Amino acid sequence: MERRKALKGLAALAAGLTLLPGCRDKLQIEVRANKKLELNDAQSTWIEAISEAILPKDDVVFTTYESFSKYISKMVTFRNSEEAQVAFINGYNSCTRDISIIYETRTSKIKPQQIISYFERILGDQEPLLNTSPEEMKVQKDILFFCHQVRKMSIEHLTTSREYQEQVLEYKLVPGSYISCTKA
Amino acid sequence: MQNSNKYDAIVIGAGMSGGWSAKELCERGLKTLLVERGRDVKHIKDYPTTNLKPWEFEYRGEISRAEKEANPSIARCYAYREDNKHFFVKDMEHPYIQDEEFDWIRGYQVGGKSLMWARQTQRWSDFDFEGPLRDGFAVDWPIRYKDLAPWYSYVEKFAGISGNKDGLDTLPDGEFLPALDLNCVEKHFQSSLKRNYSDRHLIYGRCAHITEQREIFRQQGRGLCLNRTECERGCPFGGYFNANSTTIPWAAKTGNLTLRPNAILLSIIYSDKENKAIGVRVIDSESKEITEYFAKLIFLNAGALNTLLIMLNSTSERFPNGIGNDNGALGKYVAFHNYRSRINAICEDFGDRKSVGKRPTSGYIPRFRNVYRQETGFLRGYAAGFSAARYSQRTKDGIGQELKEHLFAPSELGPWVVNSHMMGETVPKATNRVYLDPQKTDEWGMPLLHISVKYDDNDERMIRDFQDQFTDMFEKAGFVDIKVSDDHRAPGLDIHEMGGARMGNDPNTSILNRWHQVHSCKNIIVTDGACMTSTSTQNPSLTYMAMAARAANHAVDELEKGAIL
Ligand SMILES: Cc1cc2nc3c(=O)[nH]c(=O)nc-3n(C[C@H](O)[C@H](O)[C@H](O)COP(=O)(O)OP(=O)(O)OC[C@H]3O[C@@H](n4cnc5c(N)ncnc54)[C@H](O)[C@@H]3O)c2cc1C
Ligand code: SF4
Repeated sequence: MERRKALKGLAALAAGLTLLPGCRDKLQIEVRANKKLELNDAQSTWIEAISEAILPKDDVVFTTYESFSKYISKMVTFRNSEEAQVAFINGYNSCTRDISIIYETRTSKIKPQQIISYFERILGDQEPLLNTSPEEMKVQKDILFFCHQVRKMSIEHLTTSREYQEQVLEYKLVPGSYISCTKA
Repeated sequence: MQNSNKYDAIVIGAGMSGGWSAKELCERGLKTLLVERGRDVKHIKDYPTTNLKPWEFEYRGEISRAEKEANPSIARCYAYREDNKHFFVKDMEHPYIQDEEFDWIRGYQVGGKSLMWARQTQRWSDFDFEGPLRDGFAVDWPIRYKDLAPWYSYVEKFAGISGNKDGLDTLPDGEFLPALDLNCVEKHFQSSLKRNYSDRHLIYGRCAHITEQREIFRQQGRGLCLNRTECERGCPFGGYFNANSTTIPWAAKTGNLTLRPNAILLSIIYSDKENKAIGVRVIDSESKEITEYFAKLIFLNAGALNTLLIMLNSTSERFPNGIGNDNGALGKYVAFHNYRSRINAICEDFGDRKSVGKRPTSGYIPRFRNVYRQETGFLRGYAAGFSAARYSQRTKDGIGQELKEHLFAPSELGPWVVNSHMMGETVPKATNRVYLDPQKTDEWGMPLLHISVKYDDNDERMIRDFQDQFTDMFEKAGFVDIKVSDDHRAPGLDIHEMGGARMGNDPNTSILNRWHQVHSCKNIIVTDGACMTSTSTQNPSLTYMAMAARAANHAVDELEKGAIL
């Protein structure tokens, strides 16, 4: 029942947000498509925190690599349809509010473990809530889309980095001779 | 007539085949103008991505969704990526009219598509040249294997082709550099085919890569292929053949070449008085200034469909329907290769073996259907690629520390995955054709080309046969989890468009004679895919190159004898 209430609230907020971009708090991203996401400091910090919780890179040294928030801000627009870009932003906005509501605190106070629990629940939750309105269903779908995307892009951000490619995937521009058959 | 605009020969199109025409003509001492509609691309200097690492690409190798939506045809081409997209023509910038869906993949620059090609190079045999006569389609080829064999050798030695002498009558051997090895699963399949069939063979795909240094490659400034498999960006070592590293600089070294990039050939100028082509009309792609150039010989190498566009647009009192088009066959009998179907499976054996590193080609299964006799309910046959590989796998499950541990854990080798794709011959038909739009033109005033080309029942039957036969071959080899697919791709994506100005002995039914000369205008010579009477199954570029070298040398011989003028 509590979850339903929260979703209802989120659905109303999501509608308001689309209509009144001026009335958002600084963590909320204005919903618009086909423009590179311009993230303010608060949004970048929060998105970095989400990504870091999903895939901690604290002890991985990135020497040459752009931040996750920079990566995400270009890739979301670059690879997605207009509809998917909007779903991503809506999902982010609703997820941000949802987390705050659930843990009853500001996002800056949310601990990595809480983000993990939230993501585990969303990504593991296959059952749609019963008796939800189309608006509430949409909010759920957008959150799920955002969570999937941000997890996928966190993995990509790591696996396409120089460090990961060279050290883990053993990438070499000139790999040397081809050995057709050897012991595995 | 201005003297500075006069040459002995003009070659139109500086790609795979045009590079050969220019090289041969220049070496024979002809002052040659090479007209290319695209920009100049200098070997190495103009390969901007050649040494970039995956993480240095802004979008990690991807093409944006917006760009794919704006250019749906090239977006479907496997080779079109962030690292080489600058070599592909954007659909939207150079429109054409698809009466039937047709993905026309083009490269407008010095080097043409030789920059991005997959470098597979097989000779034709007489089973291919005799096909139309035996099976009663198209017209008889006016040449046979013996006519082209010395020129295949000539081209192979200069370009550098690796392969094994396999001794197959369906796929003649050539002048090969050493081949790389098949891996253990590929060898297993090779012996399974040998055991179970008398007519099916897996060989190492012959390809245009230098695997052993030779003096001729040193003179060209080319080095060994180091197996980077980033060829489509342009190779900094010149490890694979393209016109930019090989034929065009060689032609330039003679001092006889004038390369004119950014020059779009609009039409060939025919003189009714002199009864021959006397020159060409060219528009500068940037300034739009029109210039006329004059020569005794004109070689068309603009890439099959563009050559047809130029010919159809070259009208005169003598040729109101396009130059050489006395019989109405120009633009008709276009054909291509049927690449629609694939098959893949798992090989559960050889779990203790793996291969290491990369190689720029894979296995090849020459055509075996309907070779010695008609044995199926469809005409002609298909060749197929074949490869086996094991991929490193890491689970990407979990969130947080668990996910991280998975991503950094040692990888596990997956099973051997095997796959094959068909390369089917399509039968040329008058209804598969291109023609000019009577009104619409591009921004340089060239009429837009209508492409009206599609599959037929013969192709559908061939697809089913490929799937049945390969399922059988895979089962006999013990492969499991066999899956066949038909991606229903439109024609064009095979990038082997051919025909439209076919060769033949009879001027009433063909456009070109056995020396690639237009029957009714002998100083125009066509040696790109437009000349093809039929398509067989082999990747065609090696044949275009051999044809270009043969025809150019013959034309110079004739010129020297005074026979062409
Ligand atoms: C991804 C890919 C993979 C391929 N793999 C293989 C393979 O493995 N084996 C194989 O045999 N073939 C392969 N091909 C096909 C091969 O590239 C072509 O067969 C070959 O390039 C054709 O040579 P061409 O000279 O006819 O055309 P091109 O190489 O395309 O050259 C034609 C040139 O003419 C120019 N031109 C066009 N119109 C005009 C005009 N009006 N005025 C002036 N210039 C003009 C073009 O800009 C271009 O530079 C592949 C192609 C691609 C793109
Ligand atoms: S595979 Fe060979 S030809 Fe291709 S880029 Fe690498 S070294 Fe060059």
